[in-house]
Formats: sequence, structure tokens, C-alpha cells
Amino acid sequence: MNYFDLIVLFGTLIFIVVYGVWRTRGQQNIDGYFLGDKSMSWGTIGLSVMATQASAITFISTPGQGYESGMGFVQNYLGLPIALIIVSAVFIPIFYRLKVYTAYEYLESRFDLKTRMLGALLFLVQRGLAAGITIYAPAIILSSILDWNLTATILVTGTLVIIYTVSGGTRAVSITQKHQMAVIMGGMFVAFFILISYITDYVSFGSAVSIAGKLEKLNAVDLDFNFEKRYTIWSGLAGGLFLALSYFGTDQSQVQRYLGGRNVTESRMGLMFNAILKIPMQFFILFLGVMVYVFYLFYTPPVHFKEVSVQRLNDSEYSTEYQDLERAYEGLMSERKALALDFSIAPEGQSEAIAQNLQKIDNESVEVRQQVKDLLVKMDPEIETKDSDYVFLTFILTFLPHGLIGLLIAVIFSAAMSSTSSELNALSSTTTIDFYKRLINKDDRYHLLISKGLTLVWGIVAISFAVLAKNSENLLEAVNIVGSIFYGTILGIFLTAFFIKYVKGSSVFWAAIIAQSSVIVFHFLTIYGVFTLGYLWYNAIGCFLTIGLGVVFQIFQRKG
Amino acid sequence: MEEPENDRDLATPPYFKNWSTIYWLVIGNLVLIIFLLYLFSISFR
Repeated sequence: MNYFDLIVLFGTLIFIVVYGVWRTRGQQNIDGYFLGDKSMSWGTIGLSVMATQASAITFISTPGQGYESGMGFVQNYLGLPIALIIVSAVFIPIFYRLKVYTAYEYLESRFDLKTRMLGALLFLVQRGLAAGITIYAPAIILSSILDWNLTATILVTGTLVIIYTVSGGTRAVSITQKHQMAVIMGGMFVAFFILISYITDYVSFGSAVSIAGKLEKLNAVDLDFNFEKRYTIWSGLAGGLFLALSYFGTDQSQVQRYLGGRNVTESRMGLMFNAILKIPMQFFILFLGVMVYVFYLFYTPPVHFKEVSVQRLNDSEYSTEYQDLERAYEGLMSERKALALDFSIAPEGQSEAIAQNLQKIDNESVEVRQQVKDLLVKMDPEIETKDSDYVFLTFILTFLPHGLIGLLIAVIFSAAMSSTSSELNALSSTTTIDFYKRLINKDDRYHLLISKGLTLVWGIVAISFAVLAKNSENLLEAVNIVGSIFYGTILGIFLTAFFIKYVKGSSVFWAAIIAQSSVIVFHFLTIYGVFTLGYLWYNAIGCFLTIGLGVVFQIFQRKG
Repeated sequence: MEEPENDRDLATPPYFKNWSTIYWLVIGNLVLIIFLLYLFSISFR
């Protein structure tokens, strides 16, 4: 990165922050602070919902997922449109009718105070943890790859978010998210077109896609009924539905986005905007990752993308072994490049044989990459060997022109800030409305002051967590796993509230406590290898246990 | 379009008779996406 990149990066970020603060100055009450004066249109809501979900991890890890495993991850989002329809048809009218600030307020009117507190508490725990990861994830990668100080990177991201979120509340979050989405999508499209222009120096776009297909990178739909597989159409539709239903229906960081709508119609249309565009957007980002893979068929990739680890290996007693592997890898890469070029010009009859050879060499190169990872573990058993999060950024920093590098780094920061601001805003509203205001009721101006103070406090908590966080195997999955552990139970409480009128407060409360404990036990059993269960199923288990046990407890209570 | 009691209660969408039409369109869109994804997967194997 040079000065021009830094000017583009900080110019973009500072403009967004200053504009957000300026446009939302002079908030007078918590209605304005938490619901944006109920004035938002569907476009603002739609972009805000999308920007909240799409964190920096989405734009760092997802292309990495595409590079490593192909398009299969897109199935994770297949349940999302159905979930948004349910939220739109069932949840929104109830939230509007009750004029709530948070989703958990509804639980008190339907059940009792302790169930509301439980719902709010589960949200605060999981979202508080996730907010830390949202800041930490891009910071660890950017600091490693750009040689920046990790703590300073975390502090800059966190402070910028705190400034406008404390100052302008929900409206500032939504207004800045519109600009952040523009920067994000603009940056990603530019990166994609430059990538394609590099690839087409060697082969046509059609051949590039065809090669990706032969290397099994384009399997977007897996119909296998194996429950141990993480991404199949079934886990995507069922598990993805529960994850999305919990996220959009019961997670305050999303609920708050659409509660600020001018009316029910604007909120619903904002959600339908996401129901239609989310899967194509994820498809595009994964496809970008696959195209980075094709790009590296013609421009030799590093054998391991995390340069810091490679440097350590070079300085260690394993350097000779590593250099042998590197040489072997480079040999395979030249062979792979020649085969890819042959494939693109081969007549129909011969292309299949070349494709098989290409596949064989590609598999061998994957094995060499694995051997380097094994060597890293030999050097340091604690080391993080997963390097897919570094793939896209390595491409950006190595092959994009200056100025665009700054813009793409601004994309990562914008995405981190857009998610974090929604999270801080929601953590503050839940703490203020469900705990502080509920237990210590004072006047509106006082609550506004408390809300701003709590936004600041949650910002500091998230930054502290990010500074103290340890490296995680895969950041995108870490966030989804933390979410899946808690979401099922919260969703079970809400679904019982909406659809099973028979069940009352105490039954659902104790059912939720048992369900949550069981999901945590399942997670640890999976970690320790007692059995294997894809994490998307945690949502379904937590949800059904809460509903089922709630019904059983209610039957016993009636009989008792 | 039904008359709203106040601004926040407006329940019917513009251009469509009711919300269920929009929901069915979104589901149709999802089915189409899955079908296209499937076609995409098998076309380049």
C-alpha cells in the first residue's frame, strides 16, 4: 500500500463517519435514537439489513471458501428467503402492533418478565461475543498481511464505529450503511472485472468457467442426504431456514433495522429486497473466489497464503523441507498452467483426457499444500494452518493497481463497521429497554443519555474482546457457530410465543434453559469427536427442544 | 389498497393486491434460483 491507497482508504472511511454524524445530529429522544423516528423507507431498510448481515468476514472468508471448496457454501443461504417471508408475515405485524423497541419486549406481554429477560440475556451473550469477532476478524488478517499493529487496527475500526453509533443511533447506522454498501459493491465489482481481464489474457471467460467446473469448483447444489456434510441443499433449506429465522426474527441487531420503517409495508419490502438479492450476492462473492482460483492457474500462487507462517517456517529447522515442497509445488503449477492452456484450445474429443490430467495435477498440488500445513504443525503444534482467509487479500495487494488497493481495503473496513454499528446499536437498545428502562424507569432524555453511554460501553467491550481474542480456525464459521449455539433456543421461545398459545411463561422458560444447556453439550461432544453434527443443526435442535419441552412441561403443569 | 388507520399500519403493498402474491413470487424466485444453481452445477461437470 502506498500514500495514494491510504488517502483513498481514510478519505472514504472518514467521509462516511463525518456524514453519518452530521446527518443525524441533535437526537432528542429514544424514539429517534433507537427507531430512527420511524421514518425509514424500504430501500434504506433493505440495504441496512443487508449491510448488517454482510460483515468484513463475508468479504474476506467467502472468496476464500470459493477458492478452497467451490460454490457449495451458497446452499447455506437457501432457507433465507423462506425465513424472511415468515418474519414479514408473522413477526412484523405483531412487533408493530405492540409498538416495541426490542423483540424481547414482546416476550413479556406474551409470557412473563423472566422469559423476556432470558431472551434478552441470550441475545446479549451471543451478540456481545460476535461483536468482538466482527472487529477482530478483519483486523487480524489486515494487520498480518499489511504488517500493521493488530491492537491499533482494532482500535481504529472500533473507534470510528463508536463515534457515529453513539452520536446518531439507528439513523446514523442506516445512513452510513447505505454508503458502506455502495463502497462494498462498487469495490467488489471492480475487483471482479479486473480479475476477469487478467484471466482473459490467457483464456476466454467461457473456458475459465469450464476449467473451474472440471476442477469441481462449481458444485453449487449437493443433493446428498448425509447429515455429517456441512453444506447440502437439505442442511441449507432446513438448517439455513432456522438460522435465518432466528437471525432476522429474533436478533435485535436485525429487528431494529426494520422496526425503524415508516410503516409495515416499508419494513416488509425491505426484507423482500433481501429475500430476492441475498443469494445472488453470495453467489457472486463465492464465484469471485472460484475465479481467483482460475486466475492462479496462470499466475503461480504461493504454496501457503499466510506469509507470516511461511517466514517462520523459513527461519526454522524445517526450512530445507519447506523449500523442497515449494519447488515441487512450483513444478506442479507450471504443469497445471500448461494443461489449463491446452484444455482451453483442445477440440471436443481430447478435452476430457486433458481435464482428467488437470484434475490429477490439481489434486497433487492440494496434497503439497497440505504437506506444508503439516510441516507448520510440526514446527508449532498451536499454529493456525488455515490460509483461505488470506487468499483474496493476497490477490488484491499483489495484483490490483494502487488506489484500488485502498478502495478494496476500505471495502473490508466498511463491511466491518456496518455490522459492528448495528450490533452496538442493538446491544445498547436491549440493555436500555429490556433491563435499565424496565427496572429503573426515568424520563426520556435520561434514557437517551443512558443509551448513548451503553453504546459506548458495548463498543469498549467489543474492542476489549477483539484485543483479547485468540485466533479461530475459520472466522466466518466461528461467527456462525456462536450464532447457531444460541439462536435455536431464542427462536424456540419466539415460535412458541407466536404459534402455541397453550404454553405459558414458566414452561417455556425452563424448556429454554434445558434446551440451551443441551445444545452447548452437543457442541462440546462434537468438538471432542464423540459424534459429528454440522453446526447448522444446532439451530433446529435448540428450537425443537424448546418447543417440545415447553409443551410437555405445560401438560404436566396442567395435570399437577 | 386498504386505507391505513395511521401511517405505521399500512398493510398492503403497492402494485399488488395482497402480500401473499408477493410471497409466492419470492418463493417462485427461490425455486428458480435452486433450479438454475442445479443446472449450473451439472453443466460444468
